[in-house]
Amino acid sequence: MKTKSIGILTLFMALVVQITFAQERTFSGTVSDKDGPLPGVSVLIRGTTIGTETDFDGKFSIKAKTGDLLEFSYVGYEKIEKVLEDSSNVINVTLEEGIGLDEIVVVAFGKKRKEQLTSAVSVISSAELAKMTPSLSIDNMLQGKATGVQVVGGNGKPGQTAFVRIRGIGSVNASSAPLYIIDGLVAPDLTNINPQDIESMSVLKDAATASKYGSRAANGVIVIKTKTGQKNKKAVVTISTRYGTGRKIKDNFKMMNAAQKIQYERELAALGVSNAAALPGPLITSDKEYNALVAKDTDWFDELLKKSKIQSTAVSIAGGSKEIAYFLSLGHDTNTGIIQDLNGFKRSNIRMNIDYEAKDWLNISTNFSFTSSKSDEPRDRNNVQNPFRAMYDYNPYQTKYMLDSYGNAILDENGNPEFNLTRNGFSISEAIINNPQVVYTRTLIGGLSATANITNGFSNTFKIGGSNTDLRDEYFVKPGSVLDGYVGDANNPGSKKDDGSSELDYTITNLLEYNRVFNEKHDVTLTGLFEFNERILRSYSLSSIGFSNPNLLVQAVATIPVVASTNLFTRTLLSYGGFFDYSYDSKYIATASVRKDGSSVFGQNNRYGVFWSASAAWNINKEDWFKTTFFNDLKLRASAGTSGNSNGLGSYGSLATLDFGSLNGQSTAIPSDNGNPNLGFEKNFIWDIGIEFSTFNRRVRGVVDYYQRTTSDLLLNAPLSSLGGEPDGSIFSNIGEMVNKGLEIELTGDIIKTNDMLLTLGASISFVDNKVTKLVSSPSNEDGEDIIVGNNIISVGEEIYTFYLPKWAGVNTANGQALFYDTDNNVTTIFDTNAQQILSGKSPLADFDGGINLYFRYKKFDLSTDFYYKVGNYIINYMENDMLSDGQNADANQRVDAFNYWKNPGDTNVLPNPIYGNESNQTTDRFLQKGDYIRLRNLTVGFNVPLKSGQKINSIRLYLQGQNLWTYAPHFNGDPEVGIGSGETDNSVGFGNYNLYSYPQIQSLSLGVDIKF
Amino acid sequence: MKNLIKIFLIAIGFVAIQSCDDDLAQLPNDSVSPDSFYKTTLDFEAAIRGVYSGFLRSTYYGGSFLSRPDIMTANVILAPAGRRSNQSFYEWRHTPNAAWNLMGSGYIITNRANLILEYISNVNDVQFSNNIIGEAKTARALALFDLLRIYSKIPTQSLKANESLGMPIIVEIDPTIQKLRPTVKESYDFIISELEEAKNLINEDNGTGRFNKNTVNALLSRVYLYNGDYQLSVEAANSVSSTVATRSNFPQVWVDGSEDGVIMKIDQDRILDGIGIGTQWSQSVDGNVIPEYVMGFDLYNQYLDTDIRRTSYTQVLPDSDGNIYNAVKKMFGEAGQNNGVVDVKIIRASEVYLNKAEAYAMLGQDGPALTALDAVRSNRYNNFSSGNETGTQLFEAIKLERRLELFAEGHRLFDLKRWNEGVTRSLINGDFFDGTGSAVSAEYSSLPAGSYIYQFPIPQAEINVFPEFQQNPGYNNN
Repeated sequence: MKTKSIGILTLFMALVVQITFAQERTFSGTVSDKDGPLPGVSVLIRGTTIGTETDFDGKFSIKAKTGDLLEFSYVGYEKIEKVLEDSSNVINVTLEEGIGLDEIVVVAFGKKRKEQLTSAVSVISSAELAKMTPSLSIDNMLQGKATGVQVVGGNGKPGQTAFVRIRGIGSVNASSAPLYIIDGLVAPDLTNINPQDIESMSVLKDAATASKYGSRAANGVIVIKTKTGQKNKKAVVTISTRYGTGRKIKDNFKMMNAAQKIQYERELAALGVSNAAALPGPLITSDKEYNALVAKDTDWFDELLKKSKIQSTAVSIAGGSKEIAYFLSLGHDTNTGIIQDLNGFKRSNIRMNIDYEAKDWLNISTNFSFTSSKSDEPRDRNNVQNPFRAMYDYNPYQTKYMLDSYGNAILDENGNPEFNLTRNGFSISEAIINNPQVVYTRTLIGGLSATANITNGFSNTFKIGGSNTDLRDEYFVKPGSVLDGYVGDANNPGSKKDDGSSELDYTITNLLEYNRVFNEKHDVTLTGLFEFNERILRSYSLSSIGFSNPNLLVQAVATIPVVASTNLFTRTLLSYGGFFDYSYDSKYIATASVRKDGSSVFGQNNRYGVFWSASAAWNINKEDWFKTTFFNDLKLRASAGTSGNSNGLGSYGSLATLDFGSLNGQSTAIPSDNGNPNLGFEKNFIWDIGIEFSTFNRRVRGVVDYYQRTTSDLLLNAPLSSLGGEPDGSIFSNIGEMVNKGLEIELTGDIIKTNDMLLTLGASISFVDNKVTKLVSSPSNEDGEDIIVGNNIISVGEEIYTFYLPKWAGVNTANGQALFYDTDNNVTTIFDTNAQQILSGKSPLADFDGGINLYFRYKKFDLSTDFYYKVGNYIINYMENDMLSDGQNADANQRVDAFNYWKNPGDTNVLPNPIYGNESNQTTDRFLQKGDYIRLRNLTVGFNVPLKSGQKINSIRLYLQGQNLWTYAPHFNGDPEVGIGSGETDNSVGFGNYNLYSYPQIQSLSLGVDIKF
Repeated sequence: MKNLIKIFLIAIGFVAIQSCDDDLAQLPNDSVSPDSFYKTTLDFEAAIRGVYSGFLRSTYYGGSFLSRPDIMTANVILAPAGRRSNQSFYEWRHTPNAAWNLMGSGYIITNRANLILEYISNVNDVQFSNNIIGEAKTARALALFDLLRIYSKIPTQSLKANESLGMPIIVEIDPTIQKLRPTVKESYDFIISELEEAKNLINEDNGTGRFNKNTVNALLSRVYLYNGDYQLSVEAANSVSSTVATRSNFPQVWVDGSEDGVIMKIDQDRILDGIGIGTQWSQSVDGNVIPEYVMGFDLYNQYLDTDIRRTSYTQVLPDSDGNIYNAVKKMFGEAGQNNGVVDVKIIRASEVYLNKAEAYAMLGQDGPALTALDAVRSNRYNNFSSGNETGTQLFEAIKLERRLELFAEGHRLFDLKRWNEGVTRSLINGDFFDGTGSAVSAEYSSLPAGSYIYQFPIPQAEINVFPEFQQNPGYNNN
């Protein structure tokens, strides 16, 4: 290592000495468009990183030499190039509006003009971001915005992140989530960035750009650049504030009211359903009793839920002096969520971005952000502690509080109303108050970067930065609470758990770049990369029992400490890389990259992975012969390359280990794993061909991509015979393989485009097809044994996580008995859990999804609508299974259509006769439903308040916005946007395979105002 | 000059990123490499405790092993108000794909013991190592014995049981090892020779919670009884010094208030370990239960009013809907607790006396058999007077007492199995305390003697990785 760097240094010295300098002078001028001076236009000396931006009056000045080429570019405008001549120091240019291939795109380790891109990158520009739905987490906003990027909202909990998958599922046991890069730094996720701070986002989908991130890029990369100020520009203050309210999206079915439920119970008891016999309905003996129960008619949705309050305020200030550009911001968000007595989510953040031109050859930039959040956590599990299960389960003839014979709440000794434990033996309202769980998060992301322009062509960037995430999770079961009675220790009532972690993830990067244009046509860039990354995670878990006072929740007051544990995990990643970028007159563009990564996670025999990429693009419209044809822009591109994956794996899986624990208070030593010294990276190979075009004066624009992505060396557990006593029963090894193929189409058209009016319609569609091609082979199955994951299966030749369930054969019309298929597809009345079949083609993965976006602007008014649609995925509707339980859950409330059971011979389209409920209420494909849906994600109406020029305020924009206002789901009963099925239930499939009472999705309406001055 | 500064800065950059391959060698902070362990007496003390903790796994004495052998018989009845855990075993519907996988736990314990036996020569203290060897061998033998009880026939069960499939004897340290099943006889011979060897190595006293000479003799009395070596069973039982728990101490045994008559138990700390073995039967709060299985009404009626076990083993409790059950009280929790966390009793003196009684009876020595039986009965019934049974009556009395005494301790199914008897459940009596409620449906009311169901299926996953491994007769693969 040492000798290597000395070698590089020597090379430098040799180069530096040979180069002499041309005379520099200052050029200045004004950049304008048809309406006048244009601030913020990027002015760059071609082939260098030296540049500036126009100030508030559209003015710029820059030091350059005669013969240099100045590039003027601005989002939404055609780029202009001017050659500097001896004759004049003043350069005035006028930019023409147009949306083409000239945008500046943030890519791996830098920026590129879109024209120069050779790969599939979806860009969400600041202009688009400005039109988008503000949300707590930016990933939720991405839905339907970028082709090939599937975004599934986790659930409706405030502050919840989404599941983001770029070009399909990439792993089984490692992570399938993309890599997030914010201002060049790896970020843990997107919860901790204020969406208002984002200037642009790029989704790197194929190898040509993503491979530069090597072993972390297998699942694609999302690169985010936050806002910066502009040099020589007066400060602009922006205040954005929004106030709104949200509620649970209404179900497309109805629950029974008190009279209906009592009738249902009576019907079931009359049929002889044993578990209905002791229910209140059949036990009613008088009209008085009946009337008293019916009169209660509790709407549990009203009792347990509330309308959420959403508030968001952000203040930012951006500007710059001659040498410094800055962006400072402050944000505060609250969202109470929809559960009564919980405060929901609160987040505050600060950001400081500064660029400093320390010397004419040295540029320093720093980005720092700090985020603090607090979240009240409801239980998200499938039991009595979950309010979203309770609101469906609780019977309408029961009440929240115990009532006396006059219907007044009975008070306890403290004068508080006594909670009704309901038929579940539990009161969720009591639990929400007496079993609080709160999660606190603090994240600091920051870095310092220095770029030195060593000589003409050579520059070096040194960067150090990282993130520190502190997490604290407090869970208090108050003494005397109902839950404590179930799970607590009778001698030491009450319990408190404090879990937490602190994770430092830092990276040191050095990039040495050489750029030169030969013969005015050949633009060559060579880059050398060195990177070192270390992640240190410290965690603690502390629990005590024995609390005498329900209001004191620090463990200092507890009688017995139960758990005291800390842990420490470290992992490192070491990388070297070389990148090559070539452009011939912006007509023919080619790139190549190679990167070698070594990871501490893997075995000593297989620690390093080498990842490469190559790509080429052809801007056909730049050819002389092309000028006359139909297209304004036309580009063909192709790329191929590899990347790796180690995210989400344990830190020490390759090692043989022996663990320590305790038994009856004394130390135990237990062999825990035999390890695998050959453990290595999962590998991803992706090739992509794409075409980008524009026509009708660039009013119609489109991108089409086709890709094939092969993930090999998937880490799977190769099971061993139990005889050897391997502690976890298997060896974790690089074995599996799967292929994702896809087609992505994006089309946008400016249907009306005049000075006063703009109507833009956009639509996108992304197809993805997944197929498992190799699994752990066994003597009896060479291709690989199926991996059964609950009700799903990973099987060679099938889509990953295809459903694997016993099949339902309907209801016997003669007697109402449930019918099933056995393994040989014969109809039988006997349910067999072992009669599962692979339901080919039915998996939680969609066949295609996409967005339809409409934007309309007329003078000062604007309107934007975003639809998202998804087709072809399947979901087990467990909630429906509970609510149409054939009498099995007769003690809980049921859906109104539960009445529609078999009554007479010949009845069709009915539920089974409840008398056979015990056999019929099983997990089969009966409740496996197609999850197709289209949803109006966002509807915004905005108005820019007319201001007289010369006023202190630059702009005021008012808007009204609705989210999730309309949904159409033809096959699914309930909300079809299923991400997390049940937060506290292990789900190896990941997401979207079943619904099970997680936090419901929210419909909201808000009013906002943005002021700039 | 300017260039020099630049070069200097870059040089600093390179120095700052000096990093070597060494940084890629990261070691865990919460575990060690096994190569660096098994050196000192402290290492072996911790390692042998690791063996005992293996018995508390949920598929073994930490759960299924104490419940399923009763759930599969008429001792208990399923309460539909509960979560219907273990229902497929209750209904004898287990298959290779939905099997009881005790092989994992059994051979993990074997592996832990084998590692100790492999490296114990690192310790020079002969007495220390002999004792550890004795413990490790006893643990390994017990694990194999329990695997045999589940997957194999019992030698006395049928004529050719000894020639049928036993379970592999693993003494090697090799995670990839594959061995075919030997005969039952070979397996039992190994267990007996190991226990006999351990008997001579192990300490008289190792404190509570660990095997000692008494434990080994007690286990030998059981193994010899299973193997039909009745004289040896009697002799082993006679070497056991413990006496049957007195009637007054008896209720305290089940709330861990007394160790009277407990020869071997695995101690667990209510708070630190907290393995709720009692939740196999029910969960409870505020005087209510969520029952999984409750005592069968027929069995309940066999406990006389004077029998201390009726109130030690059951309690009448309602569920949240007001239905009342004879809930299982054994393993309900320590005094004042309801979390199901108590020490796991592996073998008790009363069983040894009942082993002895049965062995004597099989040898035709009714007098000593009755004495051994009465040593148990006299400590269970108020104002006990012996029935002075003989012959078949005596044998039936021993069997009844064994059923009453060892309820919910993982014996009933294996006793029926070795006596070659079937299971008959009441079609009338339900799950409620007075015999009303839901009775078992007819198809699950009777399991004939000698049914293949008594030998549990080898889990399909084991056959998948080792196709030659012999499945038990009666189970269709796939």
